[in-house]
Amino acid sequence: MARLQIEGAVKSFGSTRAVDRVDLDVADGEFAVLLGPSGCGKTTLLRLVAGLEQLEQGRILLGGRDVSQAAPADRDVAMVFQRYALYPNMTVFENIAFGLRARKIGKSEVAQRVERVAAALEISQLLGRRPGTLSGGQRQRVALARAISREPKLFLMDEPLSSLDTKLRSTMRAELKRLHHRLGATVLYVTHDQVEAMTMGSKVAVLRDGRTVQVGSPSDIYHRPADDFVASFVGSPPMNLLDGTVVRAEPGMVVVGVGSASLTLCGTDWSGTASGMGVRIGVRPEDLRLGPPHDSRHRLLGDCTVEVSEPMGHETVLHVNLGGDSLVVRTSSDGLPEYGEKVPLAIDPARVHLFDVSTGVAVGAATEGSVLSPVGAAR
Amino acid sequence: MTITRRSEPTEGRHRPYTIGDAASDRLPGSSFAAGTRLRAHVGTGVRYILLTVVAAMFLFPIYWAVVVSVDHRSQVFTLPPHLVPSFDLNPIRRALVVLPWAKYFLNTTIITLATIVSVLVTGALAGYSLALREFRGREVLFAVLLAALMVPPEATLIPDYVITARLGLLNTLAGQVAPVAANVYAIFLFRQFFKTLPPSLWEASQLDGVSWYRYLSRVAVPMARPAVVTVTLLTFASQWSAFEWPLIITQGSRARPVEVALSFFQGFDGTHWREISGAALITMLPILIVFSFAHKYIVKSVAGDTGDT
Ligand SMILES: Nc1ncnc2c1ncn2[C@@H]1O[C@H](COP(=O)(O)OP(=O)(O)O)[C@@H](O)[C@H]1O
Ligand SMILES: [Mg+2]
Repeated sequence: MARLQIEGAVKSFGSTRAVDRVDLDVADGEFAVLLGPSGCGKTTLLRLVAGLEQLEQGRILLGGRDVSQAAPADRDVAMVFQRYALYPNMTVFENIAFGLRARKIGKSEVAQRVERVAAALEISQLLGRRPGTLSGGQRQRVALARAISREPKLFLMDEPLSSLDTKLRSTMRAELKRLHHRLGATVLYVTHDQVEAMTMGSKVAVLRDGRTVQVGSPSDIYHRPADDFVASFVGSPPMNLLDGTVVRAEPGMVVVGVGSASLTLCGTDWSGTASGMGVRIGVRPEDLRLGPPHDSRHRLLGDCTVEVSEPMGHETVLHVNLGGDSLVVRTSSDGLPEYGEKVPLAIDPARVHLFDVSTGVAVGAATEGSVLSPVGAAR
Repeated sequence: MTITRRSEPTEGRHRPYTIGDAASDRLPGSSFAAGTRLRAHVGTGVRYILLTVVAAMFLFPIYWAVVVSVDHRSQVFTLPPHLVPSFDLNPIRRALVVLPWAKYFLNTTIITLATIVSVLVTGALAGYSLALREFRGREVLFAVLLAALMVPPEATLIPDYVITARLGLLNTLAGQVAPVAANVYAIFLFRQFFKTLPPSLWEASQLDGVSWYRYLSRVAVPMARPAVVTVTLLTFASQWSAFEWPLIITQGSRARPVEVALSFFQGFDGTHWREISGAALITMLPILIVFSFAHKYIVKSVAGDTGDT
């Protein structure tokens, strides 16, 4: 196992900058996730680390050693490919053993390792079969087994669960986590699925257009998104974003007008705001509530109309319309309003995020004590 | 092959807008359905008749060779042709003893096998380079190779002879393998096949530290089995029946292949039709045997189906 350091990595394809000055430090034994929409450069970054693409600028260190110029075979990394990349003409056993034999490992040691890894991944009974006869989940396990058997310094995984069905995906998620705990391996894991990123990573790097927008713990990413892109990309359903204006900015407090209401937000640092500035107000669906506020946290935002209701069983996601803006609300499943019904909508002001409307960058998040005061005819 | 069932009659009834179209025409018991079935039977019948005629056209020459080889000398040239021969096995017996057939067969077998191995190895190696290795001038090189396909074989006959002579390979087995030891078509086929393999297989091998020749021999070539089979069969067919080149560069029985040996019966005293037919049948046997085992692959490769079998 080893620490991975990516420093100022740049890679272009023609005029496209697929990876643009990315820095990332993955500690020894850490499970780091690269999260971002399709085409943001996740795969390219992973391939740079693997040595399958050549860096244009920057460098990559593995266990303190600069491997930027090293051939893939000399980097001692194992990769789990998106489509598994199993050799179709070989049995499962041979698939796992092929790479071990290439590393000049003795015959009995190879057999032992294959057996051991196969047992750990519960594929012992599949060792004689060919990949073509296996289900997607089984192939996934074989691909993992192949990577694990190598005992590499670093695991690279490119959306390994994306071609599994939902149920299998959540099983494999848990299993990968267990495996990681057991192996204590350093993992760089690529996904466009924020659920995977949040549940699996101890560190998440959000990528957009080849750049890291934010690197942090899942909780950081979720609760303190660096910009409105991260805010809307992470979380399902995504964060609501409403346009508003800063009415008053003071150290430790800011007043924002949104629709017919105004929010007084307390927070540690609002230095990015100025009076009259356009802002985007972000609030997560779980921080909105239907019905008149009945506790001290929530404040009335206005009356909204229910447009769509998506019952999930344990909760219901409601799409409501508030003065022309569409908002998503997460509520418990009982006592729900009907379609078209007009209901009061309340907000937890302590959970509000503010983003600069022109750059999208977060200008602060509210803390306890934030107050919302309805001002009848503010607009 | 999957058979897709067209919409069931009941489905047609559930969809009012299809009334009158093909779906409802196939309601059970309608005379139209019976007519369709009848037409299908007639169609199958016609197809089999046609196939039989075509098969007969291809089999007749072989049958005719059998007739000629065992008929009485006087009956070979009679008109109308003698279709049911009288069985005189003397010519075949003569043909078998007059020449060292075992030696000729051995020559042909060695030449054919050596050529197959050589064409496969060179084809796979060059195809791999052209498909997966990056080097300057790769596409130009490939274009030049393809251009070589357009050179008619007659144009290279004399240069080939000169080179073979200078290499001291006249009247040798090697002299019959060397000019065809590499084949552009085989290179092309392997290149195309390797290009269709998922790049991640090659990348996974690289990460595992698998050398390129191990990847080639253990992954790429085994997966290119249709290409291997096609190249093998085409090389087999062309080398087994090679005539012009071996006729030019061989003498006696030292390196001469069986196909050329047949010309022994075409001498100054005319053509010994019965002997030549009998001997030709014998030389043809290996081809017939190989093709009866491999016809599945031949059909596939001719039809351009490169799917894994
Ligand atoms: N081999 C390549 N040739 C040209 N463009 C590429 C290549 N690989 C990736 N790209 C481009 O680089 C960008 C990032 O791609 P990729 O790393 O695959 O994104 P992701 O994995 O996040 O979906 C995309 O715009 C993609 O079109
Ligand atoms: Mg990708």
